[in-house]
Amino acid sequence: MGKVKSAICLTLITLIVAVLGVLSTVSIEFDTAAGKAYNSFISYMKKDAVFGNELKNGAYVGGGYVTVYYPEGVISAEEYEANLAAYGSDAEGKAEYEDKYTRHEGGAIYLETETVYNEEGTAISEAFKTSFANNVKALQERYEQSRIPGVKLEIADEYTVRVTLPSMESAASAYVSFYAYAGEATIAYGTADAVLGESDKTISDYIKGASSQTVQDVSYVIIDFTKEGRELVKAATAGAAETASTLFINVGDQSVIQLSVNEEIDQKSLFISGSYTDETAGAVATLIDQSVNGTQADLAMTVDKSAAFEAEGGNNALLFVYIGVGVLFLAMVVFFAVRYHALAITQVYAFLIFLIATIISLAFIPFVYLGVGTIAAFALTAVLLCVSNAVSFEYAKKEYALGKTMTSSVKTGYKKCFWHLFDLHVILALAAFIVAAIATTELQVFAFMLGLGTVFSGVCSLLISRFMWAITMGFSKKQGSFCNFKKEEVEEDD
Amino acid sequence: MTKRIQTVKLMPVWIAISAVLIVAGIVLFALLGFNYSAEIPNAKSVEVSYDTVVTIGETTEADLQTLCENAFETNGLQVENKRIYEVTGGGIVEYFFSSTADGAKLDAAAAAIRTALTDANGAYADADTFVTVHSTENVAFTESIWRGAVAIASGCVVALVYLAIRFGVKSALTGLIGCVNNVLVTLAIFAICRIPVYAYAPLLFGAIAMAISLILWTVQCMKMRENFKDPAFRTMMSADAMEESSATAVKTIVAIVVAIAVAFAMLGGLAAPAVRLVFLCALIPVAVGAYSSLALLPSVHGHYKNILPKGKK
Repeated sequence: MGKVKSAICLTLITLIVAVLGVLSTVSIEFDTAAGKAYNSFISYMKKDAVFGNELKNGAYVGGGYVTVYYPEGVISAEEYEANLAAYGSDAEGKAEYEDKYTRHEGGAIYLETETVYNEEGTAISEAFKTSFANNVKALQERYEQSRIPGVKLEIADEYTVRVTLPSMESAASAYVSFYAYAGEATIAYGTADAVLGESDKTISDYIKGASSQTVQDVSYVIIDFTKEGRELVKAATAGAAETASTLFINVGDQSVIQLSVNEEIDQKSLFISGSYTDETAGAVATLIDQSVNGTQADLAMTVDKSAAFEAEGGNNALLFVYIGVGVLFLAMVVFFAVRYHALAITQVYAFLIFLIATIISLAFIPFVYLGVGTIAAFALTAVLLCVSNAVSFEYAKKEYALGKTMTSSVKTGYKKCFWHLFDLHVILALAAFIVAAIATTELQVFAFMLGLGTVFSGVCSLLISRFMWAITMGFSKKQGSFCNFKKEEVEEDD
Repeated sequence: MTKRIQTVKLMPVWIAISAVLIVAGIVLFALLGFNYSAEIPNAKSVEVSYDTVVTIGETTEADLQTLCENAFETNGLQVENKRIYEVTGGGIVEYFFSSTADGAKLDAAAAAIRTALTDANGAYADADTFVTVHSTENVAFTESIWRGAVAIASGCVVALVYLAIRFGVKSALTGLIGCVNNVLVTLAIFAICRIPVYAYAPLLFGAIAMAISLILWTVQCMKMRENFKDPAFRTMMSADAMEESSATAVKTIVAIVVAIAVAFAMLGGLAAPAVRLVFLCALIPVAVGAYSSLALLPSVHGHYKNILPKGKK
């Protein structure tokens, strides 16, 4: 490539990399009063509970939220004390209230004697214990089905359930409130109480399950009816064209879906849209599906106020990671500069493009987020890129040592190592994408980023590096010393 | 002539090392499971909630924490973790202790904190505070675990099918042995050494072990393909050919392993404690990958008959 062409290409690529680099990393506040600001790609990245999140305006929202589910008959000690204090000087009322509750071991919760204890009032009833176990199982199934990375469920104080959700989960409150619903799922028409179907049948005779889908920014809850369920809804809505009414899907006493009906519904799957986001549609669908096919939560649950906690890794956890990546970048530059002199420029450009592509992916692919697994995947694929480039440089170096011209050495070197590097990348990407397709939560995100990083590494090492090499080489007259390549000295016989 | 370890001849040794580690790991895993103490799965905690009277003060929140920590120290309790929450109209500070922490001591510490906070002459007399002692028990999500295990196995098999097409079935079989060995040995080391991990970490380390195993064995396969074109290899027996080829791959494999290890060590060394634990533990699958690709797998592969390309021996 000629000097002029090389200069134009290099300038253009440098400009693109610089602009994308700034867009990726620098947030600018250009009108503080009006709250106008440009948010960098990095600020769009969702972060897990270890690193914590910021809102787009820079407000810190921390690592996640914790809330507690109190089943029917269980209240917190704080609530008990507050209720007791509300009686003031009414000693009789106070005594009556005190009689109603029993302090549970540890004193963090109080149990309503009538609901929780056996008839004699001497011990917690087996029925309550079984019902609470069912509630825990139902919550476990609902949260597991939601596949929220970083969600944690704990039994607290024996008879409450504590849930921890990461702050990156925008629909955390929807999950918490919907999953508190207890009781059997039912279909009703007209009013929420007008339950359809025969009393000897269960909801699974009418509904197969529920799922959610988002198409062009519209999110749907999809209810799949059985043949019997389809007939049931068809018969109930037969007169809807004349008199519009409402179809209800309930879980226990709560209406989860209220659908206005003005024509007969005769569908195998009912797509219901509304003010759902992708997450809320998912939460509603999971609740219905779990209520139909999973363990039934027996006890109504109330939700405590949610408490937001700071990033688990501390407020500077992310900063330390950025410093770590910076130090590694410097180490890489030094290594390549020492071993390959100015050819290190090629590696720097390839690495920067790889880094920017990774940041953009993390910022704009909806289900990925920045977590420890993502950084591990980044580290592995960054090493893969460095190794791939070093391998191709070494192949070219060997060719050059044999006495070939630089152009020929590069061409032959790449030709010799192309399939090696191609195979290496394909094998790793295949494995990673298969894992991502099957696994859930943290492992899925790690594997997806590993696969994507491998693709970026392949493109950067096999295409971009070679192109950059061709461009940068145009500026040097002594191409051997430019790359720190030496020709083998051949001793001639006298 | 430099003397080097005859890896192929030492196959029984490598197999014994792996077998001992895996069996010991399985036994300890069955008995004790992994050490999930990093996220305190079963814990006791003392929670102190307070209103805005505490949060608006410049140092009152920090002073309250000091007060609590002194009470724990006085009662001989060791705090495992601390978490500060923001709630509408105030805040909460929660101190976590191991599940074996003495309940009586916790109650005594909570009572001491309660007394200090409600002292009419104290700094928190006007504040609305509440102190409770909790116990928590983790509820495990099993689906993500079995799906993760199936995913790693499937990913490994699909990648090795490609390896079989490109490098032959024997290479793929050895690769499969490598992946299984690396994943199991990595997890066994975590089980044997009782290294504290987060709930998601064993699967993550398993996946890292698989990825490193695939990378390093592919490098060995490439070297074999390149070397076996050399007429000098055609006269050798499989074991000798593998030994020689493996020796030429050492430099590349060591370079890759060192690069990955440096990256993990650097990120771990500079990171916050919660992140450090993961990255420093990730050095284990890297080390296991190095061992299997330099010792175990060449020795296993060298014992196949006719690993050289057909018609070239």
